[in-house]
Amino acid sequence: MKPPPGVTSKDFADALKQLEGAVGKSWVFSSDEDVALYRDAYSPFWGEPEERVASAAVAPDGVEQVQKVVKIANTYKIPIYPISTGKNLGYGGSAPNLSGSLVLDLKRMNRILDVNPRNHSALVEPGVSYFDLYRHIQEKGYKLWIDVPDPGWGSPIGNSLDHGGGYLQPMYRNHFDSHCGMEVVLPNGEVLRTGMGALPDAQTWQQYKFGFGPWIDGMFSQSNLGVVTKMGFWLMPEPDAYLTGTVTVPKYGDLIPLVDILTFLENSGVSNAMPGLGSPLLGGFMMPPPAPEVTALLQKTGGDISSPDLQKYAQDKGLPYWSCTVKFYGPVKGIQAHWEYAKEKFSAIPGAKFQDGEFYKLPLTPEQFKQVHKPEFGIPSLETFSIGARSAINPNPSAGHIWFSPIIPRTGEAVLEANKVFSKAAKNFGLPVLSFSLPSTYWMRAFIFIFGFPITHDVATNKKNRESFKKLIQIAAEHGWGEYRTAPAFQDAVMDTYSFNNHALRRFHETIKDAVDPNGIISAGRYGIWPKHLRGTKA
Amino acid sequence: MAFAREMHQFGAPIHAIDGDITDLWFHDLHAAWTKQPVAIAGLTAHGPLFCLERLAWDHGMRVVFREEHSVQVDSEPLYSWIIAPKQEQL
Repeated sequence: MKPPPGVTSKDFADALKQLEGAVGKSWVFSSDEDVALYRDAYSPFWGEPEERVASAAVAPDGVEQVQKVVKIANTYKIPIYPISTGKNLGYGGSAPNLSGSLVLDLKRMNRILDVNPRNHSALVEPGVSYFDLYRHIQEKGYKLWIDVPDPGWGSPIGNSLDHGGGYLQPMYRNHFDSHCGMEVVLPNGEVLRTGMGALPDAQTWQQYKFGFGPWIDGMFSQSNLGVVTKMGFWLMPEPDAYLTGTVTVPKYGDLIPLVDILTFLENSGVSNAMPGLGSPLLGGFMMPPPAPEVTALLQKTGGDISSPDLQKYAQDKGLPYWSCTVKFYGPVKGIQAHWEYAKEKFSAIPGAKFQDGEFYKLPLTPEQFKQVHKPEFGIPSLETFSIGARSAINPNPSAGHIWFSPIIPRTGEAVLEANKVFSKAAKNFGLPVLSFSLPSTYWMRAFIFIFGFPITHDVATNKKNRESFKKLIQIAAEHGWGEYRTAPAFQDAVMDTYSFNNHALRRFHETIKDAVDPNGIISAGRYGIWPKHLRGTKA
Repeated sequence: MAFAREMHQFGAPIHAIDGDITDLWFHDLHAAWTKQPVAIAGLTAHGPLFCLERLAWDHGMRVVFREEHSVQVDSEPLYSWIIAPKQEQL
């Protein structure tokens, strides 16, 4: 067992003894076998000296025990790394930014403290998983949906603090936006409640976010200023029905009005479920692969999807360049009317064609339940892990992946430009190049590209991929596109790109960090924010 | 199936999965493991084992036996494995 950096073996042993006194001997993990469980299965440094690994872990079962842990950590200046369920694979898992940190595993704090079926909210602890909350709601018979990511084995608190997203109405699928009130153990061990929670005996903690004075909740997300021990969330009332419809458009340039109309429909609240963009011509993720003739044309033109030959091929074959599936939750008559209205709007694009999609009256029947993409119905699922498995179409799956996920403007022009930029970069780096990628639509006002970088157990391959990843971060930033979230290995590189006015934002974070956490015990380095004594040594 | 039939003869409840462990997790294991750690054994591809192993860790369980087989299903090797409470190392 290697002690945390800057902590002597004797001090660490003394601290572990005190931690055992605070939480119980069986909830302090220091054997190599136990600590290995906190490795990031998708670490881009897997098996290398630079892999970020914990020194030990401690699992408190309540706020008072968290306070005790924080105080002990302060006494011995031990870096601690809180995790809720630690399952955000692809963005770091349960491994700390700073090797040698003590993982503060909050899995035992798994109480669902309140679910309000009349005003549709919940108050939970960090160890509550989406499956736990879903089960609770089902058992109570509440007509409530939770917005879950895919896969859904993580926790509402952990996912929202990392700015994760889901699939329901926009006000819910931005998971941090849909939270309402939090409780935080500060680095000095004090307990803070935000929003209306600051009012003793408040009856509206999960109803009004802002309370009184500056709203500080954001300072505890993607951050290291405290340990969040409770959080409220707004839940979606189960709608009467769900409907989808798809519009296809024939020409290359049609992507631009297609996106504009979609954006109008979403920002107006007409389309209120997560839409999907596709290309029947080019294929791509979750779509049939392109025809061999298309592949040949793309090879001939160096991947130019705007080539006249390809446009002619699409026209001759009647293959649409683009598709957009719009989705609706609500009363049957309402969503049917919204689909009709959407068709009217999309009809402004010459050659637009429409196809009705799925229609379900809710709740789903058992048969429907088996067929649907469950997160779009507020149901947690692990199905995505079977999609990535080895198969005839994926003969050599990697050991894991890390996500490169830049935010880009919500315009067709930006989608086309980003594809040119990232395709060129991928070719230069020797990475697999898709014919074309379309962005995800998690957020209402911006697009996000999500590219999976393979993680292997081969040191040389991982090294090459890490270098490419860092270059892509830089290339994206040069075009004004920034990552929304990344694995610890790249958080310094991403924070470096948010450099307006000589890194004024990071300097502000550091000022706050120094004031709130002078010993720098909580999540050192998380999202590129280092405590004073480590600053400049890690980036 | 032969593996499952044999296990069933020993009185063990058996579950078939098609790559996705969600139903098994939600309807059986989650509730059972929340009450107490219970050993399970399986013959699956890597993906289901990967998920079950991580879920088991949260309940004080470990993969205590794992063996890759030359038999493949859909181009993927199968693993036989046992997940058991931490102290029951084989």
